[in-house]
Amino acid sequence: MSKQLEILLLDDELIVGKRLKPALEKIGCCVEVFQDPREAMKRIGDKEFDIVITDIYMEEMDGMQVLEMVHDQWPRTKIIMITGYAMISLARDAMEKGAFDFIAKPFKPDDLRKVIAKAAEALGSSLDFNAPVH
Amino acid sequence: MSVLIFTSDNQELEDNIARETAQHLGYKTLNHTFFDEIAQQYSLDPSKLREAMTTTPSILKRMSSKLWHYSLSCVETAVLDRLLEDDIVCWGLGAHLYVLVVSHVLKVRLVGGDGSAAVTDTKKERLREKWSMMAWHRKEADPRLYDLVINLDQIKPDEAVSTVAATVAYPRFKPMTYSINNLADRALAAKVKNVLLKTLTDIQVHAQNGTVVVTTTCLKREKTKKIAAIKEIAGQVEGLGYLEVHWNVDRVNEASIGNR
Repeated sequence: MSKQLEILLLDDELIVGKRLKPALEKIGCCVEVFQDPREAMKRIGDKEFDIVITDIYMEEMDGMQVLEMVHDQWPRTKIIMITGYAMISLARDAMEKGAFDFIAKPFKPDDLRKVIAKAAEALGSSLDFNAPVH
Repeated sequence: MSVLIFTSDNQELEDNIARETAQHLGYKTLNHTFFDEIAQQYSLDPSKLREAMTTTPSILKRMSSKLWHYSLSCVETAVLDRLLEDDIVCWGLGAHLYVLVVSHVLKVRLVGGDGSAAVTDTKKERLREKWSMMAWHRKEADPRLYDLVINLDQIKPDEAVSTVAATVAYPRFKPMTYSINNLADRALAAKVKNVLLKTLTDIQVHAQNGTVVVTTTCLKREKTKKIAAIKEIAGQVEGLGYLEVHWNVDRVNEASIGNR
């Protein structure tokens, strides 16, 4: 891998971060996990991440707002939306606002790894997919 | 890239505009010429298959309800399987009625083109509505089924082609994991329903993330046998993750037995 991918993962459900962080670290990504959207936005204000993965429905802030703010501030960053309330209009809106991909929950860590690999490729990087994920 | 589905009451215009759009975008085409391949694949009479796509079952036309449902299922299964590939323009195969909630599919309805947008052919419309309601429980003429409705009495065919080509380029019609999985689930559900309809009736199938739920209706005394048959037949379908069978009691026939 040419450069370690910097990923920010935002989901108000603790289990999501707990489950995905090790899965992504195993393929060589550096992952910062946030449950509070405001803290995540503060961090995004300070640092340009390669990839931002965000939930959509959160109490503090809508994931679509996160998408627009990241897209405005860091146009190079690939934003991946994840939601348990997926529907066609929401998915299309997210893509129109600049999301890189949209995934419906529940999903397997391997599904997300594939999307991360696509994002890495779009960023001109590559990932080690031989690393086993459990 | 995306998938485009065209539909129109005017088949000649539909054919021309769909072909020109495919050429303009460099997409593959999937249309009524596919019927022969489907008929061969499922050992069906091609003329019967075409008939099932335009008329409802009737004893006079020697098209039983079972054969009619099976024929439609063969078309749906074969078409969905092909639509899993990207960059396709599809028309003449009823896909606008069974490809729903897939965000990278742009559905276009063409109306008019021969002055007909202003004139209503009530009988023809009624027959089409009857067919589409019976086949896929949807009114074909309902504009809410489509992303784009173009009146060809007001818009020229070449303008329609460029409008559709520009629309499909919007980011909202780009394939994404969610929409690709949706289409794959629909294709899997269609495949399972198809193998079951070969021998069984009263079958509904839904799939999500590879998990398939089959719902059936039958008499209480047939329940165990029918569920076992569904599990055995559906279990052989490639790509099936987990199978669940839900059963509803056939109240009408149950009551008629009870009254004997």
